[in-house]
Amino acid sequence: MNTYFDNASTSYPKPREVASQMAHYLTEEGGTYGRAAYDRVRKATLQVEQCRDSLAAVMGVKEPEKISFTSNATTGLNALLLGLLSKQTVIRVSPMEHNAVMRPLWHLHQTKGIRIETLPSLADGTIDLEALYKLSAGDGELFVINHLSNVNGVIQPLPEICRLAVSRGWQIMLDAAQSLGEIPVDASGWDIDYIAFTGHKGLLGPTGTGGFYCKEPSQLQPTLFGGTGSLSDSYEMPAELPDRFQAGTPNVAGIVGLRAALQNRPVACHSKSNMLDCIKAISQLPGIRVHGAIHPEQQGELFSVTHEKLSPADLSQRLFDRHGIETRSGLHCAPLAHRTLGTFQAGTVRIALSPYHTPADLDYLIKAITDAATY
Amino acid sequence: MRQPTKIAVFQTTRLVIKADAACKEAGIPIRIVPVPPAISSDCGMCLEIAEPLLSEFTKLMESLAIEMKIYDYNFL
Repeated sequence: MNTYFDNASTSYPKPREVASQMAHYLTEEGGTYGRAAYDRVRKATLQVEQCRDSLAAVMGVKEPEKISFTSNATTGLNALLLGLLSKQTVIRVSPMEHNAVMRPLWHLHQTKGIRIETLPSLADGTIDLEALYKLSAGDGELFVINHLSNVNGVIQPLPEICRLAVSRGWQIMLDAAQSLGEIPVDASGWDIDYIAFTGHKGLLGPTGTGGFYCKEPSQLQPTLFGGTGSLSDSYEMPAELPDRFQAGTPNVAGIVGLRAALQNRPVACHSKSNMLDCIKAISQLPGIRVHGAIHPEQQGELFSVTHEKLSPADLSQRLFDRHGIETRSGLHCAPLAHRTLGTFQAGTVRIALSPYHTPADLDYLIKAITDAATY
Repeated sequence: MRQPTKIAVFQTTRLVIKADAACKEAGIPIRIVPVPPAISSDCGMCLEIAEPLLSEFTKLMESLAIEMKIYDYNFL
């Protein structure tokens, strides 16, 4: 039985090839990225570039060199938000943002006086498209959109938002930390300006991997400076990509693992219908309230629950103590999302699925919550 | 005596890897070598090509829009 339901924190299990190829790199190959010319380095460098190419395919990016590796989505978001060259006086955010966005923005608010405006939403945190159409926002304004909420799993209607953004001249920065690997992202087709992502969640890669995409790199200044193995006689960061935003030795072992994950993605063991049936069954349990998307087509592979009497911490601990079910309770580093959903300050218990969960695992989850919720 | 060689220097490591992979696929024998400091401080890797293959190599790079600079160089 797969009792791990904390895949929004980090995915587990991974495709077997992730560990085997990382182990092979660490024990049999080694080698750094691009700093020398012997074959060991060539092989390591090739794997890093193949990973970049695979990521580009997953994100619909036509120029893979515009993808830079970082250690996670938070580092990617910091590189983007703190490196913006355009003079933003107001930055608009979706109502479901994580602190990976809100804390850098709060820093910009405190140091540069940038105003943070939350976009109008429906009860489940979906951006209110009708209100968005009426929004008076200037050309070049930046909108930060959390693609798939890490609290209730709501998927924002990104194609519609991007279409409007293109027509109004707005810039879109997408936090794809929870969505990439699970739902389609089309950077080119949707004309997205910036994307931050992580490797260890929906993509099923190892921790310590992630990155960002920037459509117009001239609009971004590096926030990390150091050796790139190129133009080494200069103290200036190179203008060329991907070197401009990649100082220091990358996490080659992790990137080898991420490449393996991208090349060996499993077929999901449960269907979306199985997941929706599971949510429906849990929502009918006495004392339990499910926090998910209003419309099933906008429901990602995670949702939250609260209990009328038990605190989220108590419910989460009961699930583990009695049934071995692993969940995360609390605010999930997303106080804005919880304020939007009305679950601030206690938070919720989050149930985050993996492609490896079977219908039998979901049945076990329902039975476990049924028992744990009995008070 | 070794035949004369040329050195192709690229601006980034990624381009070296792309060029190397393309040459392997096209059957053009090349070798990844360190960039001689007398030539450039660009990326730490570059490609060594036998002079008779330079034209074929250049055409391949042009077809892939991979920018580079060619230098005369023979490793000792």
